[in-house]
Amino acid sequence: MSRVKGFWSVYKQNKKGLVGMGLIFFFILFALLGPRLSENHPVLDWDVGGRRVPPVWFKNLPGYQNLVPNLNPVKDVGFENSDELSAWDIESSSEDSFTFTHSTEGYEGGSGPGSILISLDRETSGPSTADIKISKTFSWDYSSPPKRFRSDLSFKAEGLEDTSLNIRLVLVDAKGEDYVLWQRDITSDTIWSYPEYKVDSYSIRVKMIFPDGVFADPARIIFNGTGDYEFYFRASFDGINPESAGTTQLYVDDLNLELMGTCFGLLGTDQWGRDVYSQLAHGAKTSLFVGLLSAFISVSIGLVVGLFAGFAGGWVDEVSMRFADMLLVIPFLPLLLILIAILGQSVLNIILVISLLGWMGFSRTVRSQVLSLKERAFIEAARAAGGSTTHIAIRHILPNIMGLVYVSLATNVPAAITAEAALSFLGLGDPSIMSWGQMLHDLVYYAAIKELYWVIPPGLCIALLAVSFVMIGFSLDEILNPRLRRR
Amino acid sequence: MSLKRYILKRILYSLVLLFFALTLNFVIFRMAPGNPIQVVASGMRLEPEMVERLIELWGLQEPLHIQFIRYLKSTLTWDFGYSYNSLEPVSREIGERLGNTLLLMGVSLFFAIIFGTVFGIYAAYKRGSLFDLTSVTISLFSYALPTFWMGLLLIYVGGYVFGQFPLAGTMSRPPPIDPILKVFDKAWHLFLPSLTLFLFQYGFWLLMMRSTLLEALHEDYITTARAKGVPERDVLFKHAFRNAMLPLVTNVALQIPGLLNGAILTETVFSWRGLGLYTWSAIQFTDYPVLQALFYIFALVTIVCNLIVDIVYGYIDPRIQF
Repeated sequence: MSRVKGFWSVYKQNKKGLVGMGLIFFFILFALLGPRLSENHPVLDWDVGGRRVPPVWFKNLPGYQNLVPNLNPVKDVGFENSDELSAWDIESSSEDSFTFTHSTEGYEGGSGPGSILISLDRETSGPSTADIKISKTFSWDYSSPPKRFRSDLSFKAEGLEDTSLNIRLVLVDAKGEDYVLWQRDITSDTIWSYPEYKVDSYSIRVKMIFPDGVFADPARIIFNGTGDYEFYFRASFDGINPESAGTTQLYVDDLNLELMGTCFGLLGTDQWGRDVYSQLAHGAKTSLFVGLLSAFISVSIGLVVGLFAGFAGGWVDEVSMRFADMLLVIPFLPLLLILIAILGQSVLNIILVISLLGWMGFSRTVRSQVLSLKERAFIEAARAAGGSTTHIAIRHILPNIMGLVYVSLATNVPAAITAEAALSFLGLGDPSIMSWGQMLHDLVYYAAIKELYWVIPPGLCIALLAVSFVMIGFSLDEILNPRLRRR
Repeated sequence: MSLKRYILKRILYSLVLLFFALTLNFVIFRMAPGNPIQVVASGMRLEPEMVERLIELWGLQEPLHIQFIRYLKSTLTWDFGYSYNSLEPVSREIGERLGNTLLLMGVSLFFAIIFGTVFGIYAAYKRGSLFDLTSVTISLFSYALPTFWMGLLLIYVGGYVFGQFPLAGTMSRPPPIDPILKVFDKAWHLFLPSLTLFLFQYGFWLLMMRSTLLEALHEDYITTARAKGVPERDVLFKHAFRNAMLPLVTNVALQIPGLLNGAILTETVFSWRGLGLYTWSAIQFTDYPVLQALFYIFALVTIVCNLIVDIVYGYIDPRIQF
């Protein structure tokens, strides 16, 4: 304990060391807490916002004032109880023949257990047609359109008899123009169903509604100005036969309209609409994990090999050092790449290969240190006192090279971090895990170099984390190995 | 006599090392999964005769030891067989790219040494000053910056913000016919990649020069020179710098293998048609003949560089024991 205190009192004089320590502390916090601040999975959660959109705070920058956040003007209320019906405006052609109730039955794949149940009493409806409209009006205050919209619906029709039914989803813009996003004619009873295509502005079927076809951007066409917009579901009954007594029932569930904005979160989104912030936070975890574990393994290997080589001498020394030399002459990065390509792209393989290629330099240092320590008087004394080789190695030699071990750990971590980043950048990273190198790989792959909100953070993080370990290594070197540094 | 023996011993050891590296190189690729025929034939239907012809072309029907001997022979004759990907002779493909890599590495190394040395000397001379502090911090940071990220930023700045530099490639397409324009075109394409690789090394040279010079400035002969009244500039350049030349020379040789790693990343980012990009694409296609040839060349370069360092030390440093 007192040794730790003594070390700290020296260490805190060292500015470089303190800055490095502070940075690492920050990154560890970020790796532990950062991922919790975002619920989005960095790899699997696609389309959490518009694709390739800048962060929300870009609004304050010139040229980006018109950014639209993610909005959900028509929420999917779930219809769990009858109160939730009041969220909607319901109009019908004849008040008497329609009843609107809450049903506990809902589409299983949708949200909530309930649905709206629309019952049409065929006897009282009188004329052969009837009409109902479930609508919601919202105001749109943004001068630019959202990136994308998505809508959903599920329905079930029962007791149609001879009645035919047309149901449709419609968006009405501020000028009163109607856009029918989806419609279907129903002539017989159905089970729970949903639209046959995704009611999504990215869907070809939705685009084909517009004159430009596949080149149309429905979000841009519909949201063409500020004002009140209306989203409605409409069911038109036709050919109602009052003679056949009974009711026709239509269940409606999961009605919603989601608008994906042109900005998202702290750091925007990537090509597939994934949260860049979440990728950065999970990347911190990956980088620290890979860096620390590989450094630990490679330093351990180097220490053991160096101790053995130094102590045993003879052929053990010769063989291990020649093996180290051999690994040193094959260039590191190509060897790393090919080994990962052969073994498979998993994070454990990456750690394994990085550490198996990173021990050689340190084992040489340890060996030479052991060779020089072996000749010292205190070792001879220990030997004379009858200490075994193992005893001497662990009790006398090891404490004397611990300083080197710490320094080597600190300098091996940034090497491992940059190696992992380079691997991932070249497309040989673990595809199931997000890392900073992987982020840079993705943005090059999708030609997004201009997206600075996506380019800057990962590279800066790699550099800062690497620098902080280098700084700690330098300061440890100054403190622990004063003999090695004459200045 | 003893120096000769020392050099001979180093050369012999280098050869042994090269042999071991070659063996490792051979073993790694035999360990690799994936029949080369599958690699080539993926996506196209081959007649059995065609497959046999390909097996013969790569000598895959022979037992492993014969293949090994043939591989060793290929390192001497520089006939590395045919690429799995392009089916072109590997040595020709390497020959086409070698010049580009040497150009990129040479230009960036040259400027990195010049700038690193000059600023390193000045930082050592002004030790503890603001200049010293900032240049050391910047070097540390540029040293740690991921090369590929630096490349991306330079593409952004040079290619989009200023819009003056090409985003990728080695030459315009089609290349200019006039030889003078051709040189300019190449230089224009070379600028950003070599700047990237320059920044990759610059920090190292500055820090190295600064620390060797600081060490030299503390030696007794400097004190003597100052006491004699030698002008400060002469002390710096004629006395201290002269003695810091040796690590400079040896570090050039020691840095080249590391520079290869940087070149692979830089060439990939800029699609610079050199050996680094070739390595990367060979890994994408699991093009083993190409990789084997490239590994051999890289190992050879490293071993030769180390040998040069050993020999230079043997000549210059009296402390080396033969």
